Amino acid sequence: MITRGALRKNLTPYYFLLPAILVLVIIILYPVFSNLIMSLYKVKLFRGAGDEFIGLTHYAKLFGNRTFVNSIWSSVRFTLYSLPLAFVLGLGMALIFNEIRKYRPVFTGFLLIPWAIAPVVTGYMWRWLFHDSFGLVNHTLLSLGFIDANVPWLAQPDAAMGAVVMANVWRFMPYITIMLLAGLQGVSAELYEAAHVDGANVFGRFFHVTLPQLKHVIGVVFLFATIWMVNDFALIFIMTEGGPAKATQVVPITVYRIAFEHLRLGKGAAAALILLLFLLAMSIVFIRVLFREERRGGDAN
Amino acid sequence: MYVNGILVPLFVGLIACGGDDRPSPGEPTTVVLWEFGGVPGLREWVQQAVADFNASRSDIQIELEFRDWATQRESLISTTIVGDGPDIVRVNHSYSVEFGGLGGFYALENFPDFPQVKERIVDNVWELVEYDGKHYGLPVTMLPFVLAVNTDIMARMGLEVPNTWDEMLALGPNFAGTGIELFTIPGGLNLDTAYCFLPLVYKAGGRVLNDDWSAAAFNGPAGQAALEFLIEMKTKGYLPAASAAYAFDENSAHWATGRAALSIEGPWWQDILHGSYDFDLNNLALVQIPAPTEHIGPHESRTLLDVIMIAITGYTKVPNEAWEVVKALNLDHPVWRNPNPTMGGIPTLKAAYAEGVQSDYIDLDQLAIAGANGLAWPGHPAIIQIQRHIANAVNMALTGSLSPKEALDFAAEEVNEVLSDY
Repeated sequence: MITRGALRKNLTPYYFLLPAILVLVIIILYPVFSNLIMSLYKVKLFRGAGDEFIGLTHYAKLFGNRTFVNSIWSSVRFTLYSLPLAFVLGLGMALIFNEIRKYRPVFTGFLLIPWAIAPVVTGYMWRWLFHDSFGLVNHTLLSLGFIDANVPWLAQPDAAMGAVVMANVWRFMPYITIMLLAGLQGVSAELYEAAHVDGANVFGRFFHVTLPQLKHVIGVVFLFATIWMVNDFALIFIMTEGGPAKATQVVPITVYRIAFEHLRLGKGAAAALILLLFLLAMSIVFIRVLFREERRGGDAN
Repeated sequence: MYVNGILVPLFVGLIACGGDDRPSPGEPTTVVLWEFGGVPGLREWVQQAVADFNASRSDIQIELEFRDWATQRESLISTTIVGDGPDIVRVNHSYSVEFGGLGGFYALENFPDFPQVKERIVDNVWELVEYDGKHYGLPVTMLPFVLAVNTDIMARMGLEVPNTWDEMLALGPNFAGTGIELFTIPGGLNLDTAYCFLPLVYKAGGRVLNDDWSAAAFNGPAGQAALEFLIEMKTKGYLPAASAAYAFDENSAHWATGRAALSIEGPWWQDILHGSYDFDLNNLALVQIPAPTEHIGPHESRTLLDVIMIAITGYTKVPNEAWEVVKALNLDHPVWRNPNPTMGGIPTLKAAYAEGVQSDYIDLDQLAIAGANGLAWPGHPAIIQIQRHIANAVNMALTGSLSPKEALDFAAEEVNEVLSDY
């Protein structure tokens, strides 16, 4: 028999959790659930017309649609090209910045500029940088003699993918640098001293001290960066609108086109949900891998 | 009791705030006008015209609101659903079909003087605002697509303006090694690509959809020939290599800076060249878009046209006052009798083309010929989606990802799927 006092004591933590749970339900779970329901209907915008229940037809149609399947591959390619490049450059910058003692805040402030600029502005800037006739990229390459005619960067599928990847790396690198720099500053100097005493050279110290100590930061960076890159819309849309030949049409652009340009809300909801499930699955894998050792340690204890 | 103490006064208050929104006797009737889009010159004129109207009338006052051109359909849907919104809208003609059928627009046949009004507008544009035998808007400006020619380039090379696709192709070799292309077109994954491709299809006798709008028709012989023509231009180097990435802005910049001699444009072009580029307008000529040497069909050769209409909404409580405003601003106002390049389109008023009319338009006669021969995009509710698929097809072919036939057939397949939803 549980007394009223004991019951109240047991429930107290849940009272404190209630506001957070309510916010979660209202701003996350309800829209997702509503989106799920919408994806099962052929939504007609005029209320009188009545929505038609069609089950999983939208999902079947999407997976049978070449444009949608291609856009999944475009998202994967865009992320796979951008992320390692941005990470390697970001790590390099973080290592350099970690050695700078004087004026570090000033340098990091400048470094943040690409990250602080609105993606739409970044998109327009890079679109005109890669313009065939007026772009600075062609102008510079021509001046240096690397090319003898203007290259239509954004009109060739592979070159266009390269261009959006470059713009994305430019935008993301500061975020990665700042995150890794914060991680580097948390690495104890004693570990480096001990490694030095044990005869580890600079590479040994990097691979056996720095990288293992940054493991969790790297995991978080990869997780967030992957989610942001797979969800990226504005930069690519402004630069190429998904072209040429749909080579850069990533899933968010396809979702936007279906839902908001063509106003096919049911199909758009289904496409958005597929993207969400993909990101959710990927996040779970990331988190499991990231915290595998802690879990093992916890189990052993 | 406590709850009632709050709710009852609130309820009473709400009732007091609602009710009939007609004006009390002696008060002027308010007519709400939503202007979607519009070039700066047009906006300035509307503001002034509304101010003048309001100053001259004590019985009717116009409340003007500018809205984004891209939000027309969403706005019309939401206002039609709730049955409340503006009394007059300035929108694309194509909405007459969808919203005329749904009661979102007011049929002009309800006004006794409509036959006289109809007489004052050029004939061919009326079919564009018609649905089920009724007319749902006053077509006020038209935007026929024509060929913009840089006469300076053509004169320097001693070349004649082409009338046919073969003549156009024959001009190409003259441009080799000059750093100038013969022709430029937006070919990216955007709607501008469809706007510039379809004029060629219409000229060749093709159409977007079949007669009952149940299937795509742009992949017919005329569409294929038009796309093959573009690909031949591209392959031979007569089009910019980067045209497959161009939207309107890049294409405009390419032509306006003397890097290409020909481009498919319309009445807006003169104002853009004057406002955004340092282009000498003496070097601009507008002519009819070239057609294939032998007509392809199955339809007659037409000019692609866009029309802007002023419509009275189906839920307005003041249709007669709204009609007075429509006529005062868009029919009787002298601005429409003097075609003005800053207004974004040429007027549909017959009086604008009468003898002795003064206009700053370059080659107004050519625009008028194109307008009189004009046929618009079908007013299908999914037309934006259809335009997108057409643009995709052109882009696919320009990048060499698919052959013209494959690209158009693929787009037609997608369009047919869209059409099956309606």
